[in-house]
Amino acid sequence: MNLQTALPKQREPKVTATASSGDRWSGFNRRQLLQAATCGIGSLALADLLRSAQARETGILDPRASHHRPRAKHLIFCHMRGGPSHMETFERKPELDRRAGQKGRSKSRTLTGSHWKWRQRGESGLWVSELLPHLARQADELCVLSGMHTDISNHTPAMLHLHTGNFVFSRPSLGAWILYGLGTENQNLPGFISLCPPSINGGAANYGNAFLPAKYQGTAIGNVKINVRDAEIGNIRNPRLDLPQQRRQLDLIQALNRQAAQLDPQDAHIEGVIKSYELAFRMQSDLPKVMDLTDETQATLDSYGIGEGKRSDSFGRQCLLARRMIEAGVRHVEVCDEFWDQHNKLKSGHEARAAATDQPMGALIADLKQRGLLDETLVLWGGEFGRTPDTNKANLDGRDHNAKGYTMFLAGGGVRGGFQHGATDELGYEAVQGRVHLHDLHATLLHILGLDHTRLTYQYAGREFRLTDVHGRVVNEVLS
Amino acid sequence: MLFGDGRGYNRPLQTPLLFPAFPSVVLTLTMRRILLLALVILFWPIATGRAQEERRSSSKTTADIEFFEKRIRPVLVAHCYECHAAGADDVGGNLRLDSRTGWLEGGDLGPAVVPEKPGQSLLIDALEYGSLEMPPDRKLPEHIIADFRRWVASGAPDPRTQPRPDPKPDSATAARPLWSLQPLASVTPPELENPNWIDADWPLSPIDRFVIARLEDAGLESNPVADSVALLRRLSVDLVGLPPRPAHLERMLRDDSLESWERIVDELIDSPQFGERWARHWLDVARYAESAGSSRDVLMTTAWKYRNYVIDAYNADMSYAQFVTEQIAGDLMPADSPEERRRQQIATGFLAVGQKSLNGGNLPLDIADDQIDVLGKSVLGLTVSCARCHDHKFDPIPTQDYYSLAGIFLSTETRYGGGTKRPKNTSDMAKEYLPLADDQLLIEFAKLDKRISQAQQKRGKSAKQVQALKRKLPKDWQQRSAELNEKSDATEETVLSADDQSLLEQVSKFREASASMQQLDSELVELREKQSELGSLEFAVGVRESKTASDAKVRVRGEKNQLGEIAPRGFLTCIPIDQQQVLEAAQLPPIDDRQSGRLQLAAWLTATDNPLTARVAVNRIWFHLTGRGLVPTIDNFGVNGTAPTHPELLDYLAQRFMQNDWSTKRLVRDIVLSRTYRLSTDHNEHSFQIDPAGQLYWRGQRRRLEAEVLHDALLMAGDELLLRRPDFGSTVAQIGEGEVGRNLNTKPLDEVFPYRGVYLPIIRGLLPESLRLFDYPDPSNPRSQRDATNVPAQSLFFMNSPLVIRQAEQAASALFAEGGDRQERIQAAFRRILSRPAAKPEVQRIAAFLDHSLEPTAQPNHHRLQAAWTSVCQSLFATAEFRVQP
Repeated sequence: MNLQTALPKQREPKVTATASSGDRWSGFNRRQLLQAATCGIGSLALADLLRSAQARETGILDPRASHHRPRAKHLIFCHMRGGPSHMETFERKPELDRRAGQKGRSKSRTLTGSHWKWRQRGESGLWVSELLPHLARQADELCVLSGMHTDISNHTPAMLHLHTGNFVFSRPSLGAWILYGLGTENQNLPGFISLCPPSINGGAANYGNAFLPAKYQGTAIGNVKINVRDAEIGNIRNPRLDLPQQRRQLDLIQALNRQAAQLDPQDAHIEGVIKSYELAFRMQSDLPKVMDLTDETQATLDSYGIGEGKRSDSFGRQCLLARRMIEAGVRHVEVCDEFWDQHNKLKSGHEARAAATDQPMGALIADLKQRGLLDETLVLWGGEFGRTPDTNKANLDGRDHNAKGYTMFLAGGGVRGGFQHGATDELGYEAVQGRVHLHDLHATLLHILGLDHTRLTYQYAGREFRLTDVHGRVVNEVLS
Repeated sequence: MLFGDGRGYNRPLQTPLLFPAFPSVVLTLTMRRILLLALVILFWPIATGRAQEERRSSSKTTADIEFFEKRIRPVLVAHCYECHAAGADDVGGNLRLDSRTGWLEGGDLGPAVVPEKPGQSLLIDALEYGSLEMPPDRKLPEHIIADFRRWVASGAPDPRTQPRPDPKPDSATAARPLWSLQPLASVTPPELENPNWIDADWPLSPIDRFVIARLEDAGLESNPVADSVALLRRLSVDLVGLPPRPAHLERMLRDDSLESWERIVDELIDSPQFGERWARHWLDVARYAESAGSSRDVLMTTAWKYRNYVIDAYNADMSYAQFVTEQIAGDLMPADSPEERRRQQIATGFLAVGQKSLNGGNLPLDIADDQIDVLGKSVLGLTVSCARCHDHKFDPIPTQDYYSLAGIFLSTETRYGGGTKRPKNTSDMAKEYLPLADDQLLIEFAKLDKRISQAQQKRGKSAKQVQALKRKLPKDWQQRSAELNEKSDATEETVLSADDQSLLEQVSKFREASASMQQLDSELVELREKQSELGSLEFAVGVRESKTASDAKVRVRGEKNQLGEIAPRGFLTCIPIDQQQVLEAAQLPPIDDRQSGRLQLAAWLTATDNPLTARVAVNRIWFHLTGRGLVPTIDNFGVNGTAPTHPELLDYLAQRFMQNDWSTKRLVRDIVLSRTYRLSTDHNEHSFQIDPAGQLYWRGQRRRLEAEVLHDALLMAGDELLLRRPDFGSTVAQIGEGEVGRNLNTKPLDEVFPYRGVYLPIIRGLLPESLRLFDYPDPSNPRSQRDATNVPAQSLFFMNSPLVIRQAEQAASALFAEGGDRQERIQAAFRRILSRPAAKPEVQRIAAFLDHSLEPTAQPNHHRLQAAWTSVCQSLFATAEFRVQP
């Protein structure tokens, strides 16, 4: 019998929640809840009991059943901060090239054509600019969303919007929602990792849990200012004891805990702590192991563009780490690039960003595919918005922020490869076809991971919150 | 007067369900006793027979209902509720299966179930894919359908006699008056006659009488009182947020009488640590932080003054009504001294410390929204801000009311720092922060500011003039004008050429302009000196009146440009008190265009007939002392909240609270001196079966230590904790003005912080690890109740963090310094870290661990001894026990 199905509708992500060991910390477990329900007291706010049980639950992030059959189990988000230009990457605009040099939508602005040549790539014939030769080779895997649009064109709120669905209030991040909905597969590693995130632009809120329990927060490793190779993970090593010594100490801790548990067998808190120490002990060795690239072949490192002095070294390492983490069962990894924000000197700026990210991205997709991981992993690429087709710079080498139309792409688990969905107008100002709002993107990502964005809710302050608030539509057109 | 529902309460929906066999639950205890006695006398033989029969039938019912709960309800929820329950977008065939009434009355096709007649029940027919096919996607397995047949055949017992509330407005729920909005009832504690409860050494308090009456009703056995060592830890953590002082532990072990207990209670309540502990509870719900958070995490370097204000208010046992009033309208209150004025201004920091979206968003409306949100949740226990875009979906709060409140806050100027350009001097600070000074000084300061800015403007103009004049002059003007002057001085009748004439004129104009510019320069210097002589202004975050006050217009669907009707400033209409009378009683004028209306708002909030304010306050205090609210949803007394388990007790406490001048300390004292507070956390199988969650307080509730308590306990055991307040205010003040991620000087964050956790810097984007890892609540969302999660990152903290290891080392050193043999040292370690003596098996474990660690040297050097004991101390920190309050 599965009492969990008796949970209020909105609580369904908890379908196989942590109740395995019961949660006597908050005073009851499934069996007791059932008894509560049958023996009278229960009806007195059974829903409340469940609610507080879930809010206060102490269990680990066990994997949980999804709402429907998932198309992918993991998500890698390659965050191109600052807003890459769609007119330089995946949306070819011959009309813009033709009218380059003419006035833009306002008198002070001039249209500027694409700075790169375009070719149709792969069997699908997807147009990809020559800025991204490595990604172009994966064209048949890419599901390009060219009708993206969002609400605001300042970096920070747009980034918060991208990560949390809201840029005014503090809300849980996409990754936190995913962990809340699905748990994670490898308890020895964090379930949601953000590699090299920036401390500005919303900082920790971009991987935060807001009002969700703290266990759903993302773990940040490194920051955008350093090479991920030099990132340190807090409290992962004991500065005083070697591993056998520490094990002996842990044995003492666990013996004391078990003694206490014997005195009070009702206390699930102790059970939880005992389990958590064993996980932590394993995490100490497993997380550095995942982070250590020495067991990768030179060919692999080369393919990701990793190497001393190479421009793609740091991002290449991030991408390779993302693959290793996904392989090890981490639910969601975000990797992060520097700023694609070229109001000026767009040509050299975008070139530099591409030099840092194109090869690693291409390698990531190829590598996932070759390892059979691409089917179960969804890759998302893009920034918080796009760029304008026009500029106010006399040399026409620059583009400004554009929230009305831009491009992101998906690849892997459950999406149509070699496919372009949506488009901006002939010049690239705003999305006119196959429009996908950020909320729609969120709904779609959750859908692919097996979660229904309207049912993935959390009760806080008297109402149910969700990532997409009251918005969002699953973009069925992009599903394979 | 004696009827429980005569007070206008809407009883908790579920009460009749709780005690289906005892309708007398609605009577008070005394009344019931009299009735019972009469019945017993009159119908003794019948009554006993009836009771036996009822017992039998109720046990049968229990088994049936268990069958329903196990086999039927889950299936209904999983397969039917989507279309056949409250909340379904479109209830299929108008049939609801979420209550007994639902299937009994049935939908468009008539009753779905005919009890005891599976053959005639449409539900069974549909499950069997007969004339109907349900659920539509696929037929359920045969054994489930068999369960349904069996259930119907047995009479279809279903405890869901009340339909689930339909979460849509205009539903039955919305029409029903909300219990929390009803006036407070005057209640007297029930009399208990059962001698079992009476303990000559420890008389029951009125609180206990309310609690015990419910226990008796429910047939629960109350736990005994906890042992005094555990109790002392509970008390100490609850009152001051610290493990017990060794002196208290010794005293308690010697003498655990009521008097001794009372003395300790009073000492703790009177200690300055009380305010630090209780302020933290309020700071949670006040979403206190020292930076703007969100898009541009700009520090608020003076926000800590508000934090200290809250601590001081709790220590001074300020009346809660005054506490609320000062935080909302302190700047508008009369003050007897500059100190009082300063305090009242700082109090308004409550309205200013929320999260701000400094880059994008709709700032003035968002700030008002944050203020309405925090006010609603903290003082009223209502989620008022839900009504920003539409009438509240559940509670009786129309959008109009929201904008009535918004008008008050939009007529208020919120000062929170938050300048993305770092303010460098007093004038810059004065533009961003709230200046704390008497009005005269502020006026002087502002006057000088004005004169300075005028002088600056003039100087600017004059400088331009000088420049322009200079440009017109030829390059050699100095030489030429000197020559000309010489000439004219030498011979009186020199006739100058027109050219020369004009040159001289130009030169003299230029010189005049330069002189006046210099004049302005010295004037500026003088003005600046004068301003600095006034003294330096002190700043805080907080509010003051806006230059203009006016009513706001409703924003249709919350869109800032979609203006609707004007919402005259005022309060929530759902609270049934006469707003006019409130203002008259407080001798306040009606809100007009000369004032925001905050004083009036505060008067309305703290009016003694406002049914929410006192109830919410006492419930929160009760929750922090027992781990469970009488209303379990601490910040939500609305429809989606949970009705109180003990409505009479709640109202009794609320009344008493107000009678005692809203004194927090007296209420805390009342509660901790009750027997209910002192119950052990032990398991009792009988009571557990009936009330597993302990909702009726038959046992104490073991609770997790909050992050700050854990932090303090750790540092205290390591002899590192300083109990005084940091004299630099906050680390954020040390860091100075700036923004997270933009060259912020974060060095002070890495330094040892030996003060209590309540003083840790709260930068929204950079929370201290010791808080962040241990369920510190998101400081942007008001919240009373913290989570208690258990994740490996917490374990890693105890295993490896330099902070923990340092405390373990220091604790070990202290143990050595105290002397004694190994046994004594082990005992000392347990007392130091876990506030209790070690049990024998524990001593043996530790001893064995030490032996092993020190092998093979018989005479280990000091270094190895220290290392081994450090491990012991760290292990005690790392126990599950260290993180809980017994």
